[in-house]
Amino acid sequence: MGDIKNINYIVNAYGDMLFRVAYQYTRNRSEAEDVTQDVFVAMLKKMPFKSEEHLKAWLIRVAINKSINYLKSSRKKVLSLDENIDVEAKHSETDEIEELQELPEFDRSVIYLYYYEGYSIKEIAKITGKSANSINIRLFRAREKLKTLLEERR
Amino acid sequence: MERQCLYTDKMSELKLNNQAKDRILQNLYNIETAREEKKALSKSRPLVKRASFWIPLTSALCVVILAISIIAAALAPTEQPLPHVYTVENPISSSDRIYLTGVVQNAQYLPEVSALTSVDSSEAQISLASDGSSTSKYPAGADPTDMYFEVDGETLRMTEDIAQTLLNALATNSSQKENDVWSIENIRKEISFMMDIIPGYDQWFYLSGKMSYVQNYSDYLGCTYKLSYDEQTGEINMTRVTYSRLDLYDMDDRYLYLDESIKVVLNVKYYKNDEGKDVVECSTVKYFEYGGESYLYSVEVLKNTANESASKLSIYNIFERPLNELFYLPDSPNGNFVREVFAIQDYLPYGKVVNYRQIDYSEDSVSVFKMDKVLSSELEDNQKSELTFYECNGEDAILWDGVWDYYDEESESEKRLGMAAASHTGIYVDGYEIYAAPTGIGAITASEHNVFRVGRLCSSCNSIYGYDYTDTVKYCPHVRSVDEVTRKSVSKTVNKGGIYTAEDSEKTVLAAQLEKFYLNINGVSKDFVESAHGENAFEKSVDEYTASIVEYYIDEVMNLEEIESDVSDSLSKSEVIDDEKMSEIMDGLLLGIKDMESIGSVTYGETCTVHYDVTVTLNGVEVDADKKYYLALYTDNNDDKNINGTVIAEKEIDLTAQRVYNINGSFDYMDIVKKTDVSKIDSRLSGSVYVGIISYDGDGNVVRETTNRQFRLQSERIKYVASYKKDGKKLFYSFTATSYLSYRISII
Repeated sequence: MGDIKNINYIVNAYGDMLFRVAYQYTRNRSEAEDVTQDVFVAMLKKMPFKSEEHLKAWLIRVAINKSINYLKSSRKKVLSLDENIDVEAKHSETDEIEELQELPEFDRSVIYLYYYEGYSIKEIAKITGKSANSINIRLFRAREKLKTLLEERR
Repeated sequence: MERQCLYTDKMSELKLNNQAKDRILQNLYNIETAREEKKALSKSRPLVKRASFWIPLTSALCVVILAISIIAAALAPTEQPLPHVYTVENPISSSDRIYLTGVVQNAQYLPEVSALTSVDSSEAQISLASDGSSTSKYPAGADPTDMYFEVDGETLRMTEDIAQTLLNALATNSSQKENDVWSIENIRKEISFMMDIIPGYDQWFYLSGKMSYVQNYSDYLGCTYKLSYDEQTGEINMTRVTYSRLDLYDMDDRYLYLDESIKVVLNVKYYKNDEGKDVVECSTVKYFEYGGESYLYSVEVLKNTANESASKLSIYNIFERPLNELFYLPDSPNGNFVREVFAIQDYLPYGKVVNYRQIDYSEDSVSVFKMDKVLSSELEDNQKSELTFYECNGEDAILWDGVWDYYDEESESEKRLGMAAASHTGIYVDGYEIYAAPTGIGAITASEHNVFRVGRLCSSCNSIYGYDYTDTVKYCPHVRSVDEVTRKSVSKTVNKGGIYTAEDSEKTVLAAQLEKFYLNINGVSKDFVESAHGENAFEKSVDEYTASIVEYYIDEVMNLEEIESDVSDSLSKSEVIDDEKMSEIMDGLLLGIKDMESIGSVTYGETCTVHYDVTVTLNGVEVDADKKYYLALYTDNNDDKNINGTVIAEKEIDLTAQRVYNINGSFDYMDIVKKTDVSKIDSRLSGSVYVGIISYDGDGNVVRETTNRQFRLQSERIKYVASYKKDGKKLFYSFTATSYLSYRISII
């Protein structure tokens, strides 16, 4: 348990995590960094938190929301400002697991929370505001789809 | 081991680089430093400031303060001046509390109906004064925008029915849910409530638990509040910040943990103006907070000056984008959606809506002003701004307020919009009766639309709106188009592009009323009439005024940010008054209030044993001398005269002998709760019992002699303050039952 009132501690402890969550959506390093910063700025207004668990769950949830909002506004901008912008170019850095990118954004964040952060299905449900059943189904489908994709590419 | 795979390895490589991390940290430190500086600065100034335009900065100020001091001193029941600061260790004395509570209770929040009416004109011919048209009549020298009624050649003000309806419309607006929290009556309750429980003045407190009259949200998280009393000026000032969590359940009716909340900042001031009249100013600023962001939802301002004016401005739904974009609920948007959001979206599809309400009154005149403005928004045509106001031409409708669209036969729910629980007023226009629908009746309440209706009957068949006993409005055969009825003289659509075609005189009338409104609310004058003649200038000036109001009150709210920070700090330190200390404080309060009214308490323990102790005070009793009456506690709450539930306890009372009765004891709630409900009882037992006066008929049936009062049995807290008068039976009573056991008050 770290000092959750210490900004330095929080950024070091959770910066990477938030960056990964944001990256699941933006698939772009600089955009994910922007979202990460936005989340921390929002956190300043919200502090202090009851516990580190509460803080962590809150950060993830806000990161997901801000990523979604970011995507919405960014898509609008892309379409309205210049239709010739190469949207695909934004995704050039997504080479960690190619097959993952074929999953819906939210499913990717579920995969991340489950397999990387080690959250239980119930905890993910709580964080994302969805039912455990829904998370379970998404996880199951994501696994199945990944399995199919991986088999196809062997 | 399954999770330790390529995926985790790859994800581990995905990190913020040091440069980005440093940049984020630096930005956060900059923000934090700026906030600290701002906080340090603000500590040196009052947290709740009065609007500069409300301060009469004149040379007479000192004289006024002196005069008010003298009046306040004369009114004070105690010779000793009130201490400047009360603390938990040195709480407010009972007598001071009684005095201040009395001031609040007696403060005038709305005009008396009698102040607005003079003659009940059952057969009167009336006409509406307008801006000089030949058909209108009004006293010489009177403001042509005032409303007058002419009866047998004499000019009179409106009737009681219409006056009462107007007052209801001003006090509450059932079309907006949050007004349940922010009605004038609730403001009075709110201050009284704070007077009851607050350990001291001039200090911020945190109060957890639920308030019985804050019912909009399932999870009321608590509030921070501060109550100030200036013994020099007699000014009472309360600021309260409430936090409520939104209702949100999944399809299986399970509560979802979310960070959404609603924050409402309420500020109430009571004081006497330089003419010695009671003035009450209230404002609320309401936010949705979600995902670390705050979204302004509404700003409302109310100012009442006794025997002079009552003005209310409401600005709703000030969002930059649709609410459903704010809430990320893609799985089952209908099932998961926030109830409040539905309400907003259903009712306010355009985005921003501004309501102006005002009554000016004196011995000589009454003026009523109502205007609804729908501002342009991203959701609607940017060039369009809709302005709705009542027509003042003296020939068509007298006063139309909130007339709704009628979608005949389209669907059951929409049909309900056309229902009106109308009542006859005895007022006639050209020989045809005007009807008025009072607030809060049946179908109108259910429709969640404006509830105040005044209409005119058809000049051909006397039944444009036929009113029958089912409260259903019918159209007469002479009206071919529904729109002709509901909108003919109600709505004016103003296009900012310059397509507004109404007469300039209408704008002039509207602008004159708006000037009075501005003067009432802001205390200084502003010229709207002049701008009414320029192209789009009037609409622009109205919009600018509205924006300035919003801006001002948001600034006020921003000043409270540091308080929230203090609250959080305090909570994290768990500075909570222990039960023993709380009990001491409350004993003092109860003793004090007992001098004024009766007190009882209802509590329950983990064993579900409910202890009840209710005292009822009866006033003006006139009863059947041969009948036996009982003060009873029972489980029934139907509206029938006969009580079908269980009478838990009863005590025969002699209504002719004394006025104060007490019933007390205990029972096990598990004995009366239905077996089917037992499984639902968990850590949050909830249920209700009722107290009232009963009797028995010849067949032994329990007969309800008064309306009952409900006591919610909940683990958090129980409080009910109520009074009831039943004029028909001339048997009325009032009582207060209070339990503070579950309150936790922490000092900030």
